[in-house]
Amino acid sequence: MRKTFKNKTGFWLIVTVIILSIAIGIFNAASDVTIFEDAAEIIFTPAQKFFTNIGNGVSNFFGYFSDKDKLNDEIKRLKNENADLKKQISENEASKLENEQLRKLLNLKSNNTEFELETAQVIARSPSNWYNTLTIDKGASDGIALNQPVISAGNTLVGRISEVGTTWSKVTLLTDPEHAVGSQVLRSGEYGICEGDGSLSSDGGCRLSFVSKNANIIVGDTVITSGLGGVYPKGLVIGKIQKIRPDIQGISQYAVVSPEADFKNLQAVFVIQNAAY
Amino acid sequence: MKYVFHGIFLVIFSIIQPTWLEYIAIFGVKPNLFLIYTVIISCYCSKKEGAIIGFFFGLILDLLTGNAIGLNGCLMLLVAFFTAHFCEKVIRNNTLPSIMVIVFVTTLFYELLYYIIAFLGDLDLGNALLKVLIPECLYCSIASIPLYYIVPKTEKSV
Repeated sequence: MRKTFKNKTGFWLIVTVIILSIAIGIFNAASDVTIFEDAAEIIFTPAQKFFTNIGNGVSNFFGYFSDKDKLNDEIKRLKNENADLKKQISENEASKLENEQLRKLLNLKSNNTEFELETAQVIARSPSNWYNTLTIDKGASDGIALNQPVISAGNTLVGRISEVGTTWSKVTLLTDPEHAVGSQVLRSGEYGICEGDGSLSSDGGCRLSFVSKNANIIVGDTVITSGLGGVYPKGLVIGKIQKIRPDIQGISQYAVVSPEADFKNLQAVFVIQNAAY
Repeated sequence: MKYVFHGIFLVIFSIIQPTWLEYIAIFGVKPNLFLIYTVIISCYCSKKEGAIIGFFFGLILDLLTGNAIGLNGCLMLLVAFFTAHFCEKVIRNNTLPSIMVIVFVTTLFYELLYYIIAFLGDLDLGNALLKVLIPECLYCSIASIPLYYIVPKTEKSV
C-alpha cells in the first residue's frame, strides 16, 4: 500500500475522490436535470429508440412462438369475458341513461373524471441495477411535467415522472426505492403506503407499509391508489397482495405487493396530464 | 487511434446498456458494460490513463442514470486507478481467469461503495449482497470473456 502512495499526489487524489463521492451522494439533487444530462439524453435517445424497437421486434417475434398455446387459451377466455361484458354494457347503458335524467332533474354538473393522457414510447431503462426507471420519448416540449402519474393499459399504475428533459422524461417505477404512493386495499378500504424496497425490487415487488396489525387484509387483495398525497388520482390499480408479514417492532405489519403492470415488457405508457385528485 | 476506439465503445455501451441488456437480465440483474470495459482497459494501460478513461465512462453512465451525477465518475476513477496498479505490480500476465477474478472483485468493491454512498441511511446489506451484488459480480465476470478478446486489441492499435 505504501508503494502505491509513494507519490503523495496520488494519495491525496484518492482521498479527494472519496470525499467528493460521498458529498455527491449526500447532496445529490436528483430531480434537477442539468444541461449536460439533457444534452446527453437528446443525443442518445434517438439511437436508444431505434435499438429498443429492434429489441422489441425480436422479442415479439420469439414471443409469438412461445406464447401460441397461451394465446389460444387467452382468446377463448377473452371471448367469454367479452360476452359477459357486452351484457354488462347494455345494463350499464340503461343505468347511465337513468342517472343522466336524474342529474338533469337535480341540475347538477357531471364531474369530468376522464384523464387527459399523453401516449409515450418506452425507449430505455435504467443502466444501473440499483434504480428502477424508464426513459420515455416525451418531454417538456410535449407538456410533460414533474410528478405526473404514469399508467399503462387498464388504469394500472406504472410510476411518476421524476425527471423532465426537452424531448425525453424519466419515469420512476413504483418498485424503485425512491417511490412511495398513498394506497388503499380495495376490498376492506384499509390505508397504507406502497413503497419501493431494494430487497423486493429485483423480484419485481414493492412493500405496502404502515398497515395496522389488526388491519383487514388478505393475500390476493387488490391494492389501489388512495388519492391522498396530491400526486396520484384515486383508484389506479397498483397490484395484488402476495405475502403479509409483521414488521420488526411487531406493532404493525406490511404486505408484499406484486404490481399489476408488467414492467419488463412495457413498450408504451400513458402520462396523466390532468390528474384529478 | 485507441482514443477513437474508446469513443466508439462509449457510444455503443451508452446505447446498449439501457436498451438491449434488459432482455438478457437474469433475475432482474444485468452486467455493467462500462465497468467491465474500464477494468479490462486499465489492465493494459497506465494508472493515469486508466483513471481518465474510468472517469469519463463513469460520467456518461451518471448522465444516463440521472442520479447523483459524478458518483459513478469518481468511483470508476478509483477502480481504474487501483486495477491498473494491481495489474502492473501483481498480475503482469493478463490471462482470462485473472481478468475474470479482477472483474468480480472490482465489481463487488465498486457496487458496494455505490450502494453505501447512494442509499446511506436506508441500507439492507444482506439483501443487496444476495439479490444484486453477488449475481452482478458473477454476471460481469462472465460478460468479461468476450470483451477480454476484443478490448486489448484496440489498446494495442496505433
